[in-house]
Amino acid sequence: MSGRLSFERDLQRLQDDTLLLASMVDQAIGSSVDALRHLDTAAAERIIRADRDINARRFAIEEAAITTIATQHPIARDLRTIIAVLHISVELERMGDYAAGIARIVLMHGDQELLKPLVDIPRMADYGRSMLRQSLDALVARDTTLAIKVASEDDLVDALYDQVYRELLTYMIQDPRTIDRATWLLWVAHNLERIADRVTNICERVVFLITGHLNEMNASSY
Amino acid sequence: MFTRIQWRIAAAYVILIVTVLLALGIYLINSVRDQSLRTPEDLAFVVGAAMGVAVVLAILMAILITRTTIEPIDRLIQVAQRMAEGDLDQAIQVGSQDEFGQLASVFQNIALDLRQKMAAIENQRAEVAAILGGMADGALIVDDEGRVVAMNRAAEQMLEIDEATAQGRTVTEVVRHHALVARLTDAPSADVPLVVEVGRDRRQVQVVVTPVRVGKATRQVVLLQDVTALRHAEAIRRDFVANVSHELRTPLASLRALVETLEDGALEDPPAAREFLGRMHVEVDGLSHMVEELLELARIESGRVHLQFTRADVGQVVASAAERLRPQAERQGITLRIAIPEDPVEAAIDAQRLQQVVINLVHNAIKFTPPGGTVSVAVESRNLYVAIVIADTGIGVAPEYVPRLFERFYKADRSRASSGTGLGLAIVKHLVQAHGGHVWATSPGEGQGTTFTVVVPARGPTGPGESSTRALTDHFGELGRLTV
Repeated sequence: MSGRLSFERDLQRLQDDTLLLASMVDQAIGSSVDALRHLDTAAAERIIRADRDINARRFAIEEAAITTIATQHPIARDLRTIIAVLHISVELERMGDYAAGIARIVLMHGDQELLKPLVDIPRMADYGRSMLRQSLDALVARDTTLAIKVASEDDLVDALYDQVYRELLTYMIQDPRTIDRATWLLWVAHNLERIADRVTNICERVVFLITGHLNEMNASSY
Repeated sequence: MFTRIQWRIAAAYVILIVTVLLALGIYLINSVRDQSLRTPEDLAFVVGAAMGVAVVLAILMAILITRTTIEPIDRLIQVAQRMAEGDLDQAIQVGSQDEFGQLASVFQNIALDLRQKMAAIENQRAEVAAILGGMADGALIVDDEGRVVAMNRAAEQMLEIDEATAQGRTVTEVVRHHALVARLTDAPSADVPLVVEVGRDRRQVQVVVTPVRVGKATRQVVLLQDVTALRHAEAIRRDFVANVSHELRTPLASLRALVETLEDGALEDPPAAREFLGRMHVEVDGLSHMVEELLELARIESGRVHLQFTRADVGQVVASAAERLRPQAERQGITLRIAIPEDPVEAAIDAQRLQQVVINLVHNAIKFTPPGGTVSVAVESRNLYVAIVIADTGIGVAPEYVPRLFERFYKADRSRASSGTGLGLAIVKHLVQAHGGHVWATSPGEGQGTTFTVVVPARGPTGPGESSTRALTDHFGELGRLTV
C-alpha cells in the first residue's frame, strides 16, 4: 500500500476513534442524569466503572496520534488534524469525568430523596449533548460556520445554570436542612455547565483544524 | 473446403489471370499468323506489356475486393462499438448469406440476448430497491473496509443523514455510536440483542448485523429496527403490574393488621372492636372502589362498554355535573365558576358518561388546588366541535410529566400518600375517545395551575378522520401538549 494511502487510513482511524469516544461520553452524560433522576445507584456504579474505559480510549487515541506524528512526519493540514483530534479527545475525557462526577453524587444521596424534581438539570444535559453531537458534525463536515454556531449555544446553558443556582439558593435560605442536597444538585449543574464549556473548546479545535487559527470562542463566565 | 469469400476471391483472380493470359495468347497467335512479331525483343515487349496490364488490373481488383470485404466489417465494427457503449437497439442488416452475413446475424442474436438480460437485471434491481426503500426497518450496507455502500430511506430517517452524503464514509462517521460500531468489528458473541439510541428523538433501535458474501467481497448488512414503541409499551405494562400490586398491598396490609388485632383480643372490647370494624369497612370500600375502577377501565378499553348517544345540550350536562361538586369546593375554600353559553350547545353525547368525565376532572382540579384558589368550568362551541375547558389555579404540572398524566395509576405527587387510585384520568381519556373526541392538558409549569380541555365532535363519534390528531391540530392550531 502506498504511503499516502496508509496515512489517510491512519487519519481516518484517529478521527473515527474520536467519534466513538464522543459517543461513549454522550451516553455517560445521558445515563448519569437518568441515574440521578431515579437515584439509581446500580446505574451510577456502572457509569463510574465505565469511565475507566473512556480514559483508556483517550490514551489509546493519544498514543496512536503520537505514533503517526513520529512515523509519518505530517505537515500543514494533516498535522493540524492530528493535533486537533488529540485535544478533542482530552476534552472528551474530561467531560466523561464530569459525568462520572454526577454519578458519584447519586451515590452520595444514600437513602435520601432528591431535593426537588429535576427540570432544568435534564435540560442542561440535553443542550450539552446536542451541542456535542453538532460539534462533531462540524468536525466531520469540516464546517466552520456550524462550529461557531454551536459554540454560541453555550450561552443557553450558562443561563440555565444561573436559574438553577438561584433556585437552589432559595431552598437553602428557606430551610438549612436542605443545604446538603441543594449543594449536591448545584454540583451536578456545575458539571453540566462545564461540559458545555468543553464542547466550545472542541469547536475551537475544529475551527483550528480547518483554518489554522486558534480563536477563543465564548469565554465562560464561570 | 473453401469458404465462400475465398471462392469469390479465388474466382476473381482466376478470371483475371485467365483473361490476361487469354488476351495475351490471342494476341500472340495473331502476331505469329501475321508475322508482326519477329524478334525476341518484340516478344519481350509484348509479354512485358501484358504483365504490366495484369499488374494494374490485379491492383484494381484487389482494391475492389478489399473495399467490398472491408465495408461490411467496418459496419459491424461500428455496430459493435455502439453496442459496447450501451446502444443495444440498433438494426443490423443481414444482407448476404456469406460469412459476413453470418457474423451480422450472430451479432444480432448477441444484441437481443443482452437486451433481455439487461432488462431482467434492471427489473430485479428495481424490485430490490423497492423492497429496501419500502422497508420500515433501516438497512445499511457496509463493505469490508468499514465504509457505507448503501442505505435505505428508513435508515436515512433514523440516522438523520442522507444516502448521498453517507456513501463512501466510514460507518463510524455515519452512525456515531460506539456500541453499534463495535458490533460490526467484533465477532458477534452471544446473540445478545443490542439496542441503541439514535437520532435527536432518542429512538430506541435494535441492531442486527449480518455478514453477506457478494462474489469475492464480504459485506455487512446492518438492520435497524425501531423498538421504541415496543419498549414503551413494555415499560407501561411493567409499571402497571408493579403499581397494581403496590396499590393493593397497602389496604390489604391495613386490613390484615386490623383483623389480627381483633383476633388477638380486641373483640373482647366492643367499642374498640366497633372502631376497628369501621376502619376495616373503609379499607374494604377503598379496595372495592379501586377494583371497580380497574374493571371499568378494562371494560372501556376493550370496547365492551356501550355508550348511548343522544343529542343533548352539552352546557346543561356539564353544568349539572359540575354543580354536584360545589359543596366539596366550598368545603375546601375554592371558588367554583361555571360558564355556559345562553344558547344550547348541542352534540351527540352519552350524557351520563360525559358527566362522569366532568366530575372526574373537576374533582381533580379541586383536589390539587390550595384553598383560596379557583376552578373554572366553561363550555363553548368551536366550529364542528364542542369544547369543555376546566382550568384551575392549583399546583400545576411540570412539562416532562404532562405526557404521562393520562397513564394508568399515574399520580401527580408520588411522595404524597394521596387518596384516589390514579385511574381517573385514564378513564376520562377512554370515555372521551369513545365519543370520538380528544382530551389534553396544558400547564405553564409547577405552581402555575393546569387546564384540561375536552373536545367532542358535535356529530358524534361516527365521522371519519375526526379523531385524527392532524385534523385536530389543523382545526385548532396550537394545541399545547396533545396528550391523547
